[in-house]
Amino acid sequence: MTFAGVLAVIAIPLLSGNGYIVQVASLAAIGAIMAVSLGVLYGHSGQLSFAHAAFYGVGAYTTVVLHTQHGLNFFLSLLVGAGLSGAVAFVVGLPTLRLRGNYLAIATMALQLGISEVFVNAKITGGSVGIFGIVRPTIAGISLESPFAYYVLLVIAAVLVIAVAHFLVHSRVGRGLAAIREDETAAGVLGVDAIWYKVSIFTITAMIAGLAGGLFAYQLEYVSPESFNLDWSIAVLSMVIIGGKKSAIGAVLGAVIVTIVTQLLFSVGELQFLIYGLWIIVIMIFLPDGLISIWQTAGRSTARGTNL
Amino acid sequence: MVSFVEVVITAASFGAAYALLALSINVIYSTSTVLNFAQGEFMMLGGMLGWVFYSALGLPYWLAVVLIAGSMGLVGLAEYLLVVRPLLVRRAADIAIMIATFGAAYVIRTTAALGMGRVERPAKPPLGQAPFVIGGVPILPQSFVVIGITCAVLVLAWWLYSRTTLGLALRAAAFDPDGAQIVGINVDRLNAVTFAGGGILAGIAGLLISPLSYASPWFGITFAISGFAAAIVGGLGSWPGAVAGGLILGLANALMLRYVSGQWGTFATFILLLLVLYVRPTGIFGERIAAKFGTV
Repeated sequence: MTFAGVLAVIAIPLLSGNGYIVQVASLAAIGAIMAVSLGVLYGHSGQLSFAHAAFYGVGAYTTVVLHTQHGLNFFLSLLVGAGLSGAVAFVVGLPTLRLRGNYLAIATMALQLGISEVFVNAKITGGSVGIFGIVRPTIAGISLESPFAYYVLLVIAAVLVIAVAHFLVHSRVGRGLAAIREDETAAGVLGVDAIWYKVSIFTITAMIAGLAGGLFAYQLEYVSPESFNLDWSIAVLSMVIIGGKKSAIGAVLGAVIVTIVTQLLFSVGELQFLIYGLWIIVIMIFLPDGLISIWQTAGRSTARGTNL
Repeated sequence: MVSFVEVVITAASFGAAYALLALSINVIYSTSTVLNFAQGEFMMLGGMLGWVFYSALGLPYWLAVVLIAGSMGLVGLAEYLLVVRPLLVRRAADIAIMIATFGAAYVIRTTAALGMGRVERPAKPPLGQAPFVIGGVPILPQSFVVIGITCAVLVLAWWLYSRTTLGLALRAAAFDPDGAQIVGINVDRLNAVTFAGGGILAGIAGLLISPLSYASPWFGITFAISGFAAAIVGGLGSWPGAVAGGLILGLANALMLRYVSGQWGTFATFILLLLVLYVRPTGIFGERIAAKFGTV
């Protein structure tokens, strides 16, 4: 029943035959991958990252440089892109993940802004202009040139990432992270090596972000630094919070909502970021625990009602 | 040698402004433990208003300072009442508050761009452009203004904090908010005061630095990363840390600007942050504070 419902929702953009709707749905699918990744990192391990857009960008540029400019196989390019994002996260994670809470927030924000500066100034990224002329690949004889076909690939990727996230959360690593989140000292006493677990999950979620970035580059068919800046990290964090930080379904819902709001705001021109700022403030004030909390609160009051 | 002295003076000028911003971050953080990411925009707005009042309208400098302090105090207060307080009342997670302060940053940035123009403005320095030559080293008069006013503000802030009843209440609330509440200190009102104070300090930092760079609605995020980096290099919540962190950041930026390029400033800030935090995970003066507030 639920499965059929989900399939129906995924199919709507395809059946609509409308290019704009498919584009928005594609961006929502990419947003969902990002939100699931950050949801695992923040919701399940308690680590904050303002640098997810940077990892996303590293994946995007790497994939484009390898596939479009050097003719490497598309999936191999995506994998190398994800791997490089993971490598950056690993190197940066070793010193920063010893930090707690607010220090980590600022350190990852500095990382994000630092890498954004590399995107703007480096030669290989095409500087502030970016890289044009990206053409969607043909895979096993099937051309993904059409945005409709590419949307199907994005949905498959999102489903796979959700499955990986589910596996991660319920694996040994996930249980270790849950223990660390609740009480790092106690977890340490029980033999959970906190730094190792934190660096692992930081690296893995950065790889997922890198994958999302590679997929995004071929959705837009154009990459430039403003797609990978702090604003995007904040947007993904807002997706995670709107969805309710621990649920994959919530993260997808958050991604869909934020993507639609962002797209609608393009039409208001100069006032776009003013309204966007107000929307973020209002959403944080009225739904600080996410949409999921509405269901939970509803459930709780019903339960209390029966007790009375 | 001469160029080295020039670098040191540039470093001290930028460092003084970053120290003020880091102090404004710490003032708010100490009492409420809120990281207010709109504070870079406060500093930007201070510079923009300085351009409006002093360069465009031609008001006397002292009046511009007073008007900026007043209006930035109100901006800080408004952010507290409209954005942060509703979240504190609901006991929202730290992350929700951080994201909401980014929302406030977007609102301030867009409003400044729409209201005062989307371009970089050359702000007029109050003592003119002609450099003083001391011992063969040319020094911009604005350097004296930045360093002088910063020192005056620091002394005033130190006096407020250590010699007045308000300062005592602020220290009590920073040490133990619940305990302070129990002995009759209105922590909510103190938070309002610190946000107003944070607005004033950041606004003045922006006014001071604008003749050395430009006044532009897009500078807030660059200021933010320098201010937050200075605050955590020095140790979040620590006042001497804010000054030390500001000066270290100023020195790093000045060295980059002089010997490498202006394009890699933020990347250099990040590397510096990484190195300092690797050696001291809670910053230079941050041990005690971090033990209290540092947990997730």
